[in-house]
Amino acid sequence: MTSKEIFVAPREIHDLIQRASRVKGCEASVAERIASKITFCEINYGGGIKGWLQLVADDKNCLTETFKSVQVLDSLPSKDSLDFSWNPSIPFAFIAQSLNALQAYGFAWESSPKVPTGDMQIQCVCLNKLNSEKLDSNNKTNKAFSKGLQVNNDEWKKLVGIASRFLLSEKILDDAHSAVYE
Amino acid sequence: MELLDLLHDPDISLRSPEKVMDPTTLGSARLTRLSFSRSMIRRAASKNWKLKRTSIDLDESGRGQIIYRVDAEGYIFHFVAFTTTIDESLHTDRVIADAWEISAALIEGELDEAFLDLLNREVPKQEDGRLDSRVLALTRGNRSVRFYEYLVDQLASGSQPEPSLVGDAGYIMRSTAFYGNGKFGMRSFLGYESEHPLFAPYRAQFLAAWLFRETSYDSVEYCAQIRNPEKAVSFDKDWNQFFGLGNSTGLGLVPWAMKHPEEVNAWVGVRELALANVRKLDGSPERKRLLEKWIDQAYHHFSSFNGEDCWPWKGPDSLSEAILEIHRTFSSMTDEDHPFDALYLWAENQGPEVNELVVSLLLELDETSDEVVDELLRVDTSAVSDLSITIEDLEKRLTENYSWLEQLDLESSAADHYWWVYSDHAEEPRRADRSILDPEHRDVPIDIALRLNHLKKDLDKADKTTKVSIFLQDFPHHGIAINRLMKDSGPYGEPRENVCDLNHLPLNLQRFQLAMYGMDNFKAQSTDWLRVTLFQGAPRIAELNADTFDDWVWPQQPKREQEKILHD
Repeated sequence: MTSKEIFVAPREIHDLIQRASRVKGCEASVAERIASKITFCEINYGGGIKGWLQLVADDKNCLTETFKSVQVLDSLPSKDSLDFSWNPSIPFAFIAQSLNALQAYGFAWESSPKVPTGDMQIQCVCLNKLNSEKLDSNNKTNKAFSKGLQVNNDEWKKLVGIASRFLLSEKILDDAHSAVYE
Repeated sequence: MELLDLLHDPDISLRSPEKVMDPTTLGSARLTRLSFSRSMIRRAASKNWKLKRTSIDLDESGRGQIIYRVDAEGYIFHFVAFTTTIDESLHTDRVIADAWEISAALIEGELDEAFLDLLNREVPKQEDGRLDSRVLALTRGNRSVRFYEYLVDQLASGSQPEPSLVGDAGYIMRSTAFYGNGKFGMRSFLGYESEHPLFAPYRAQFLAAWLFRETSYDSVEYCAQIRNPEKAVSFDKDWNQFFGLGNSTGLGLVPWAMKHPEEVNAWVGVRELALANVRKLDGSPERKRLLEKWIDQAYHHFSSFNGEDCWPWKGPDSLSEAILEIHRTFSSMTDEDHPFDALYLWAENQGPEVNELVVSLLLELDETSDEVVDELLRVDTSAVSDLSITIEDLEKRLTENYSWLEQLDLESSAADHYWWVYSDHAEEPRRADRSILDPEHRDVPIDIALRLNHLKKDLDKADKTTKVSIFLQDFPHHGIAINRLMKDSGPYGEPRENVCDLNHLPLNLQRFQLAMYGMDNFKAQSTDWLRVTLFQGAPRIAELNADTFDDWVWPQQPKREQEKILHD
């Protein structure tokens, strides 16, 4: 590990993406699902955090819109062969988890590039019912839980910075007489 | 067998979720033999863990460093505590403190100089520190302002403490947090392999807590030695186990309980299964003697403290009265075929606190093995919901599992009075009044009852044949509520209350969790926080061996020297 990288626990990614997504305007349920998708991608493909940061760089509302656009992958397709396309393209991080869930139902998927990481832009995914085998992500997941995940330190700091805005100023809370210990 | 199979087994007679998950019942829970502090010490004793202090380097004020080593089932752990003194004005029970007199970490593996340097640098910073996967638990706390110096002075002068001056609190140091499970870069709980000695929930945190308590004893005895090497004594036999570790707990436990229905179900479920086992038992002389022994122990514990009721709970005086009544009642039932069931049924009409005290006493008769309980407590939350079910199916689940929502008056103006938020100071959980502060996407989504109520209204209007996955495309904000419905967390997963309601009392959920941990001596300080004690009566590490018996809880307050002489 270099100083450009940092080890983090999967739950830290989940918590920060969830909070940062709230800061970027997402409703809690949407933020929760996005956090789950990004964490899955970071563990299994890498580039999840980078993909999230790229997406939110320009537009505040793009997260919810992107989330809505990928929800179609959360249903089992009624056909054996199907293409999905996005314009503008979306980071792979937002669809990796759904594609792997579909794989468990026998749908092979193909994208360009063929071996993506979370930050790669995807315009089209082809699904084919081929009795494909489920991705065995257990080893990667176990390793992530026991040793942590190595992520880019600059990206991590950016994410921490955005997520910190989810917290509310103690002074505001005190001034509003919010319930507290003493 | 899987926990959910057991909890749904019609041949096992369990208490109803309506009763068990009622906030008042949850808020009357007491420690049991299944509590994490006790199961941790049973594991340590039965598996022959070896614990020893490997270094202590303190000045006469107790500032320095203490290290313990644990050899457990082929694994090595170290507990490293850094101690200092801070001005009394900086002592606070709130999580927002910036400095603590004790900060410590439990780590796995050997300690080398570089790692110790990292711990020395990062552990005192607590939430602002950065750790790695070698670290399993992080904690901190302060000395009891009232007792620490007094205890050192007493031992340094060759005397034991005066019970009337220190016995009521029952601790030397008070912790304010135990972090683990991936926080600040630490090892994730799911990263422990199945043969790991700390594989059970919170076992790492409770090993850390036990060693924190050991630190408090060692610190006092060591400082006394430094101050007066000629005369100083150690704690005598009576005091050597009496002090526990104090703890103060705030609102953080409420979000945890609302976010973890599977875990809550497991904690309650293993207790309810154990209670069902005991209620079926016949009254063999051995079992009756064992229960009478525990009733006696509880009575002597509570009656050795003086204390009136402390809202909203009974104090030691009322509890010892209640235990006398329990004893009288049980004595009249010993000829019954199922005297333990009879005692339980009697307790059901004695109010929630007596009821749960009887549950706690009865559970001492349960013989379920710790290995089985550990497995049942380890829940898998990774299952992916099947979104191909229809709205009709979803409504059915809502009706079957959440009919209790109708009793919460979720349409009243009080129902969403509060929203939950984390402050920017150490992420302290707070409740904010909605009429004063707008959440603006900062709400912590633990408003489960309100979310389910909103979902119900939209489901009423939806086409019943629509698949849930399609419904979610139009209503993505219902994701949390739908996920709650889709995952069968079990009958005991949901506290039956609305935590945003004006009249919600956080103390109930707090006490429930603290009792599961094995804490007692509940002293509410407001509606939102309380003080407790854990490991009071527990063996010190040098006393642990394979014969350590599991009856250390509820110790009696030591007697004065004169009283001891009279007693002897």
